[in-house]
Amino acid sequence: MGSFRLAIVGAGLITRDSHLPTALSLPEIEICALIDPVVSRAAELADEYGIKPLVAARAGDIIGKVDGAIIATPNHTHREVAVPLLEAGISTFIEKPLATTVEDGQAILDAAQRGSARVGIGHYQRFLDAPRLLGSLLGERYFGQVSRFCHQAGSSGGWPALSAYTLKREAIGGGVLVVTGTHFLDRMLHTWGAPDTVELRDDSLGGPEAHCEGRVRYNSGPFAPLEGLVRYSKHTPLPSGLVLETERGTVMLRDGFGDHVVLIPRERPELKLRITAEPKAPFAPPLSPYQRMLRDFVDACLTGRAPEVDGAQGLASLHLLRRFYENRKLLTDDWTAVAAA
Amino acid sequence: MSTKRIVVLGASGFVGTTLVERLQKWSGVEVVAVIHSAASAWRLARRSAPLLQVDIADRPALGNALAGATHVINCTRGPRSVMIGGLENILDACRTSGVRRFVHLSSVMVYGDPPHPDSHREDAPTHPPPGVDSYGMTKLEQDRMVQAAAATGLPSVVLCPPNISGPFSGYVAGIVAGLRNGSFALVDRGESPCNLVDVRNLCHAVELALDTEGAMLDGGRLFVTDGEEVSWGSVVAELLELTGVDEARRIARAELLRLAERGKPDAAPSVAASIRHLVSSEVRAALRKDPLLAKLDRAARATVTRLGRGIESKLRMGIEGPPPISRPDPYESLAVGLCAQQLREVRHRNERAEQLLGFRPPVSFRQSMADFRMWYRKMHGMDTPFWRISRHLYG
Repeated sequence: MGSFRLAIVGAGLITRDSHLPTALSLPEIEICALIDPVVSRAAELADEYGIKPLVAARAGDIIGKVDGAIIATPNHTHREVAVPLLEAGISTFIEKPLATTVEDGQAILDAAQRGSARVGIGHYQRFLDAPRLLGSLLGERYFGQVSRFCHQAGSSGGWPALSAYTLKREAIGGGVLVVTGTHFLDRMLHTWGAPDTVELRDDSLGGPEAHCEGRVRYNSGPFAPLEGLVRYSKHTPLPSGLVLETERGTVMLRDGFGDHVVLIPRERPELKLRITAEPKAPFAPPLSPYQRMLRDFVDACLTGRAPEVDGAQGLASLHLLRRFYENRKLLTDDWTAVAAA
Repeated sequence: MSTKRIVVLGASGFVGTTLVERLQKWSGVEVVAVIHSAASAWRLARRSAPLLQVDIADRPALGNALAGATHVINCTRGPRSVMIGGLENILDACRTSGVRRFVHLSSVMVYGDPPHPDSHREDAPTHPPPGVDSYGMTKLEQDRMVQAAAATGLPSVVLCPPNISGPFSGYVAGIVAGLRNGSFALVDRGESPCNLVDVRNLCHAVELALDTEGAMLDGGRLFVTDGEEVSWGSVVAELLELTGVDEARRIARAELLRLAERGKPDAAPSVAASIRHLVSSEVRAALRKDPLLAKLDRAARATVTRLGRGIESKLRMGIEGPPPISRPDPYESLAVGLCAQQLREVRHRNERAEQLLGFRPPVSFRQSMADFRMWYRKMHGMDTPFWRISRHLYG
């Protein structure tokens, strides 16, 4: 029997495919409740995994019965779900992003403070081996000065959310920049801090943008001068990963679950040097990034420390997203104009 | 007040999205975009236009979506069960709603792969790739269902496109990727015909089909292509600048034929082959996970061992053959299916669509490719200073 009583709010795809199996795999966790406004969906999910938690429609029903909750509901509902739980002292692990607006994010953090509860954010990429390795190498300037970087990710379509919230801009808090981009933007903030200037070109005509290209520049601070480009698409498959132009050469980290970083040395561009780290605890059972992330959250709740990706960092991401959207321009369909001419 | 209520089924796909974007610019028309799931509807959703999420397998829900529809365009795709069961529901709902025009998208795959040599005309014999689940077979069955519906009073047009090009074309983007990574090779001198239709030409044909009256309403197929004599070599020439390689990989036709033949499943089941498979080491290893079967396997092996080494070797040779020898395969990375499309020798012709719909492709092949290149370069950021580093992701 686990010692940490956990509820999961939202019985959609991300819970079925990730949060629930991850929570069930960790012996310190007991799943006490599955909450979804469509109660039958939560009940079916419990049956599917052979568990018998409390199944209910309202998140308020778990107050007093659990130590923590995962919130895996559409982005625009995070505030209304999280605030009462946090005020009641229930720490919450919120699927990224923290909320759809800076104001909602701040309200969540204020509620956490009132309830002396913790807030963790579901940025699983921070728990992947290769991004961790790259982050530490960049932190110690192993590659020398970084002058330029590009991160991109694109697919033909996306997550088939059961609630279809991804069709509505207000429900996402934006578009593909939020849905796909926030993972890297969180890593970027963690590595280099907030950029001095940001601008965005995207194809939104009122709805969630499906393709965007953002530019950032660091003019001051320890990493300046540094400029970067991020490109995300939900209609065009793009090879996904991060490439950096550094003093020592080109550094590449493909998205995914790989464990290595590639360096193409400036003086020997025909080589690709694979950099991996020795495991710190070679005989420990390997954990998935999702297991590490959830274990970190549970440990933070039990010890009173902040989770590795906490609410303040989630709020910093929202501030950055707001700056992007405030500085957006329309990405024009030039090819259509050519055809018409 | 709208005089037409046009329902586009499968609106989130490549053709459906382009069509909805165009139809929404028409005046006096209400466009209803029906999607199956939110997953692939991003390109449409960016317009903030209302989207209707309906499962075409759900007849009552489909009936509600088609209520009051004057025109229905079917761009849905999916597994066979959805394509057949869904179309049955669509046709039924169209009849119930008194739809004035039903436009269905078929595929040249109904003529086979490679297609029948007479299939420059629509009345050529159909022989889609075998297998009840083959795409061509399913499209043929759909065509027959639409023809039957047309015969009983549902005015229907069936448009029959080849592969679809133009901006956002995943098919053409796949050729670019294949040229870049060497999984696509040009056959001989690249002279084989390449049947393409720009998505805007196809949409234009659909738009004509919504209004035109006449003989094509019997559900007979109409080819819709770019209407130009395009070769694979010319397609590659148009795309090469996007790939970073100077010239396409080549393969001889005879070699590709051999590879294509090798990839085909065995024509007929064989008892001997099945027995060999059943007693192979892979299957026995799986069976040994069961304690009882493991015991039986041990007993069988002990019996064979008692027969002597010579007989055991002969038995093993008879069952598994000699140990496999791995030889370098220069074509290991080749996408044989894509390359084998160059073995299609027929040019499907637009004469019937021209005659019955007045269809003349507004976008030329050169224009289509130029627009694709512009779109591709922009989507991948090829003209930004960052391409110098991001190109490494394409290696």
